[in-house]
Amino acid sequence: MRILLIGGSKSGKSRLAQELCLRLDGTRYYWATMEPADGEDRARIARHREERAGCGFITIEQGRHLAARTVPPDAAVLFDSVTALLSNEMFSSGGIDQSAGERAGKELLEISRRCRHFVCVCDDLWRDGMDYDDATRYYCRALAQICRRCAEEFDTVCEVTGGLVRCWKGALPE
Amino acid sequence: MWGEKMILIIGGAWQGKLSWAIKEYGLQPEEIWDLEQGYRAGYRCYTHLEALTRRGETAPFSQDAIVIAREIGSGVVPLDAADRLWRERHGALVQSLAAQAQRVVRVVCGLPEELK
Repeated sequence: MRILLIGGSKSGKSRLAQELCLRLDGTRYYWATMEPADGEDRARIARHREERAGCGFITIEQGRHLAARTVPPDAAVLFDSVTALLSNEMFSSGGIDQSAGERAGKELLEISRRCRHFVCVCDDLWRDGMDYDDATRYYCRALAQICRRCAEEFDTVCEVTGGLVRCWKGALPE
Repeated sequence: MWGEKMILIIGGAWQGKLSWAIKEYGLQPEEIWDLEQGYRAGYRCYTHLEALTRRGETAPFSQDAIVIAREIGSGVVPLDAADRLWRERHGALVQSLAAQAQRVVRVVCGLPEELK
C-alpha cells in the first residue's frame, strides 16, 4: 500500500505517517531526507528520532540521489519528506537544478514501487497566494508536479491538519 | 452539461485544476480563456480568476461558465497593502461565485473534492 500525506507545517503528518507504518506489516524503515543546515534542523531531527524511538524503525539517511539506496521487498518505508528531497535535489548544487523535479519524482516513484508499503509526507505550499522569486516558484511547481504523479499511482492521498485526516483518495489502513 | 449553472473549480497553485476541468467537461482549447489576458465574453471556461482580481477587475461571467480560481488566502497577511486588498477582493468574489454555482470542486494533487 502506498500513501501520500499532505499538510501544513506541524500539522501532524509525520506522526500520522509513523502511526500508519506501525499498522502495516513488513520491516519498518524511516527514510530521513533532511540535510541539517543549523541547530534548528538538528533539534528537529533529534525530536523526530525521539518520537520514533522504540518503534523498531531502521533509519536511512539519504536526502538526495535516492536511487543510490535500496530497501528489501518487504520494507514498510516512512519517507519524510518529499519537500526536503526536492529542496536538496534542486538547490544543493549552488544554483537551481531545473531537472531536479523530474529526477526526484521518478526516483521517489521507483523506490515506492519496490516496497511493500510506502508512506510519504509533503508540505502544502500552494495556497498562500504569494508571489515568490523564480527559484521558489519553480520549486513549488515542481513539488506540486511530484505530488500529482504520486497521487495518480498511490492507493491513498490524504490531507492532515491538526493531526486530523481527510482522505482525497482511497482509505487509511485499519 | 453546458447550459446549466455555473461551475467553480478552486485549488492551490499547480494542483491540476485546469487539467481536471478539461477532462471532466471535455473542454477544447478554443473554449478556454485565460484571464491573464483580460476578460473576453463568449468562452465556456475561464481560468486564472486571480489574475482578474489582482487587476481589481470583475467580469460578467455567464451563468453557465466554468470558472477556475486559485486559492490564495492561506498564508501570512501580506505586508503590502495592495496584496492585502487583492486577497480580500479575490476571496469575496470566490465566495459569491461559489454561492451561485451549481457545483464547486476543489482540486488537490489532481484529485477532485466536491464542496458543493
